Amino acid sequence: MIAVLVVSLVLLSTQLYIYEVGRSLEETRSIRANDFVFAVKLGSKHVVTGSLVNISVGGDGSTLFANLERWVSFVEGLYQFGKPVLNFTLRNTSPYANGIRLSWDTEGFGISSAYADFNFSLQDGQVSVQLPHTVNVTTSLVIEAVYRTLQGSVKQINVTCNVLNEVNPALAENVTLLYENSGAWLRADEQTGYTFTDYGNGTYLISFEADVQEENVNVSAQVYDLRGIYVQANVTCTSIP
Amino acid sequence: MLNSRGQMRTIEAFLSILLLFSTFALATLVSPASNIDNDNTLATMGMQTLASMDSDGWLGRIIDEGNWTTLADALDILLSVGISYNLTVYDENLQPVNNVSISNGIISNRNVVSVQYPCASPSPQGKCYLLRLQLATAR
Repeated sequence: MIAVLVVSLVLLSTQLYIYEVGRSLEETRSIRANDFVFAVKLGSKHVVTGSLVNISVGGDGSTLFANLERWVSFVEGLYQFGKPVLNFTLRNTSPYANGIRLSWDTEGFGISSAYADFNFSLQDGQVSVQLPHTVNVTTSLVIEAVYRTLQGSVKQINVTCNVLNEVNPALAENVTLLYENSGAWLRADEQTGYTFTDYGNGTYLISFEADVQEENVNVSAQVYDLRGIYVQANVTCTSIP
Repeated sequence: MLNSRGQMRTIEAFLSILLLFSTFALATLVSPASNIDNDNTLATMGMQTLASMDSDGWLGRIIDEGNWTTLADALDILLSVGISYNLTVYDENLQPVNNVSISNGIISNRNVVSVQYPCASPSPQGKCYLLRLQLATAR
């Protein structure tokens, strides 16, 4: 009788132990899957950002696709509890081509943008995750420029630059302003009376004086944002009295 | 004689029940659930710490620069006091990248939790890293 009880006791306590361990492992697996998914989502965004940095400074247009392929292959081999699958599609509808849009026009607006759709899935029996998401990294530049004739052909030129990351005002790492004089592009910061005002909210005011014969004064702002993405915008200054 | 044997059986049954319940109670107390809960907390803390450093790409940039001292300083600040850690950074070929130890001490505790964090650098080269962070409660 006692022997029977002892044996059943051992069996029951073993079962209890297995139940507790199994339950905790499921919780562990679920927690780690969620963290892993979040890390992959962040990483995808960084790959798109880095690729746009590369392409905006003259890198090959296929960099985005190549970098994402590498990231996908890297991620799919990492997860220890199951097989993750990360798919991506680069936006190819106008104005995007291969997920990239670089538009630096002469109307005072420039945009450097990358766009990719992702679908991440993870299934291993215990955990099931399906996460479609979109990554859109965009740096925009809006410039306005006016000039006032001071004396003869000497003009005072004021240029206002507004930098945006996605839709929000953003700081610039570097702002360079050029102006056109007799077909040559010259740096504004080498001219008389050059001042650069940083309003701290993504707005920059640049003033300088230049001897320009033409009535139409063209300026070009070249900006790197804090992520290293390059964007450029050109505009013809408006004359003010 | 029969009454005496019956009493013995009853006592035996009571003792068996007592033994059964006390063993249940003991089994629940000594089950490893509490350790695993602690492991979950450590693992979550580790992943969240790395994710917070990675949210704006800072983590990838620091690794690109090989600035291991800054990385260790950040972990010292972000991880709770009393947590020992050891971080190893691997490249895409899973070769260790950090040439110095990124740690705040020796992890000798048996209950070491290890988390793996995939990280992409927002640099033009788009480098990928795997971070293996070992965590333990310092004793």
